[in-house]
Amino acid sequence: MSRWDDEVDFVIVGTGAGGATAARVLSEAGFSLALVEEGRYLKPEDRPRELVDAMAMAVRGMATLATDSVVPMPLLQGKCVGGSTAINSGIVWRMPEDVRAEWASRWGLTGLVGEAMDDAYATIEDELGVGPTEAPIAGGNNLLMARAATQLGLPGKVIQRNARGCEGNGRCLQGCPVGARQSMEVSYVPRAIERGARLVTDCHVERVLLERGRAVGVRGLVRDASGSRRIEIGARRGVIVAASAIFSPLLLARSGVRHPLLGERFQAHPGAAIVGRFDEDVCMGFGASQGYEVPMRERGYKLEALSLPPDMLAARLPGAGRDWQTRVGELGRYAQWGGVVRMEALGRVRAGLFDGVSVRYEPTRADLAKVRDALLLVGRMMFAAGAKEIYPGIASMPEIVRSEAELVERMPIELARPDVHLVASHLFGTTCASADPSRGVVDEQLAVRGARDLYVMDASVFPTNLGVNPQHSIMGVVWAASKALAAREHARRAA
Amino acid sequence: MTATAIEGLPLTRLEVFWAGLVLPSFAGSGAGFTVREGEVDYLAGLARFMGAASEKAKLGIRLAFLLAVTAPVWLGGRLRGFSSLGAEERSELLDRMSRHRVFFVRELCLLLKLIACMAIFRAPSTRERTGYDRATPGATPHRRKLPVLSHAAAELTEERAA
Ligand SMILES: Cc1cc2nc3c(=O)[nH]c(=O)nc-3n(C[C@H](O)[C@H](O)[C@H](O)COP(=O)(O)OP(=O)(O)OC[C@H]3O[C@@H](n4cnc5c(N)ncnc54)[C@H](O)[C@@H]3O)c2cc1C
Repeated sequence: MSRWDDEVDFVIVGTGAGGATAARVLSEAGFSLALVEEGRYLKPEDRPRELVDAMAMAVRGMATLATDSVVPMPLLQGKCVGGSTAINSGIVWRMPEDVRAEWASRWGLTGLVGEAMDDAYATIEDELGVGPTEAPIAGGNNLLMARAATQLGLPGKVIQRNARGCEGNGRCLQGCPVGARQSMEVSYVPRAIERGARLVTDCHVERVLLERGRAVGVRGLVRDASGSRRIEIGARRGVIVAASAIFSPLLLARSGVRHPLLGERFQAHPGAAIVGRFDEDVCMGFGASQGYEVPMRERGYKLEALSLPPDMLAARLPGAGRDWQTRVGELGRYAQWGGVVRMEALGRVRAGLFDGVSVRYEPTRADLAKVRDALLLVGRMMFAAGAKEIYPGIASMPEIVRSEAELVERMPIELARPDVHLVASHLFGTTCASADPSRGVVDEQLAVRGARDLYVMDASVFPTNLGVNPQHSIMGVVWAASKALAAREHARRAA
Repeated sequence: MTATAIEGLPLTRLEVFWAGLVLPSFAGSGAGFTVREGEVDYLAGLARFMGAASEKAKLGIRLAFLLAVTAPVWLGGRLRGFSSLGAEERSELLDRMSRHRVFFVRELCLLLKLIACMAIFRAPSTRERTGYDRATPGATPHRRKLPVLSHAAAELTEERAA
């Protein structure tokens, strides 16, 4: 009798951008797979519109997982089949050329970011229907931002998204109710299942099982309606960890993997946003959640329109009581645009007392200067588009600013960290990849050093952050790595 | 407020009492957008939030309630309980907490405000009164059959289109 509850060629831990892409490639290459996911599987029709219910189902810790700091920074992640892609806005950017060049020259990752990546991009874009946000579903928040960019002569553009037949429900965060956004739970996960992959949900993988240095399977705790039980799934050819930049290093450490850089080099693209009040209807309730952007790469940030669910928008309006209620009565009149910053700060992830994880990460002065620059520009754009008042969300400024002159005059020369509310949803770097053994927890094939048949395939392998939205880069890198893995395994099988 | 929602709340009875006082007070004045009698179940919203929140956040919420109910003393300078204040006065105190110079106080107040808003907008009738959902004039959502990879999603879209 087998010791395993199930046995496959590869066990993949996590079904987000990384895990699902590995599943797409390896299932098509003929390998049997088990996809093990801590969160649950939610069908489009299961995704509620009401934010508290939607987030309770799909967002890790209700977005309250945060850095350990006197000024904590919330870290947003999905916890369901599809991972963070199931709550994201579907924005697609290819990895910038300068990043590819740096990864090849400084980190020795040519195999991942060379031609193989171009091939991967072409296929993924085709399969996930990547295209520009269509005009009829742009919605007021995006259209106003386009107007502002035109007025100020900024290099704004319509956002490319992986959406097919988007109806402009403005519910990317809650989960697309019609399955238009091609997040992993409606695209690559079902595709792998069609090819025989098995999906195990509600299962927290506690350990990768290593025997004489070789990954032979995983042990997980399933918690579902019928109670909780432990399972073990055997992996004949290997285990792929794709549990995100926060949880992959923790799982590896728990499994006995040791490397000086494990959990180190944590990086992010934190962001902050400004809400503005207009005389005209904006109506965030209709339109693509994010359909317009202004890339300011040379200045280290990117501006994006970001529609909020009504609860978040109301909470973002200043104060409580009389004036606040007056503003909430006109929720259709507000726009929100933000800046996402490519920060230089490096942090670290470790097992911790609270929620099992501790993340240390503090933006540097230079990082905060970029936040200031981005917010100043967003504020100017708001007034250029006709805002009557804006709420900069900067503690050392007036809560309500009514003109561009006031904005410029009252904006502090330097932002202190407690001044500004930062949130991070693009997370990288805690099992860094490098061809140099001293600089990479994983090698250029994304294989874990010091173990056999154990791989990491998610955002944690990124040696640097990008300055653009990362999902497509994660998928491109993982695609290239899993294609190469499939080729090596086929060769091994043939030999 | 259902019994199960209260049972699910990881709070003491006293804290549940505080929550019932504090959460409705963000929209406690009679001006602008108001919540109708019995329209919003704040404690059910809180239970849903706390049921999925991180351990750190749960601790933060409890601390936030304590700060809020003692605010008449440390912020208002009066030896009175939160419950003895009128609705407008409670809102005013929360308003002052939300712009307090200490980050920690502002942040905990924001956490409670977000929970209150989530409870408020869980009721479909409240959302209808804010103008949030009005379609932009002239914009007609288009529909087409989706060549998505998931059968479930494709079937759903076809059903909706039919
Ligand atoms: C709100 C939001 C909006 C975003 N918008 C965009 C966007 O528009 N465009 C873009 O390019 N990027 C966007 N991102 C970022 C992008 O979604 C992520 O960078 C990407 O999904 C990360 O991929 P990943 O595979 O590393 O991790 P994830 O996608 O987070 O997947 C990790 C999975 O592993 C599971 N897991 C973790 N631990 C375990 C365990 N022990 N056992 C079993 N399973 C486990 C998790 O539940 C999760 O499902 C957004 C992110 C967020 C949160």
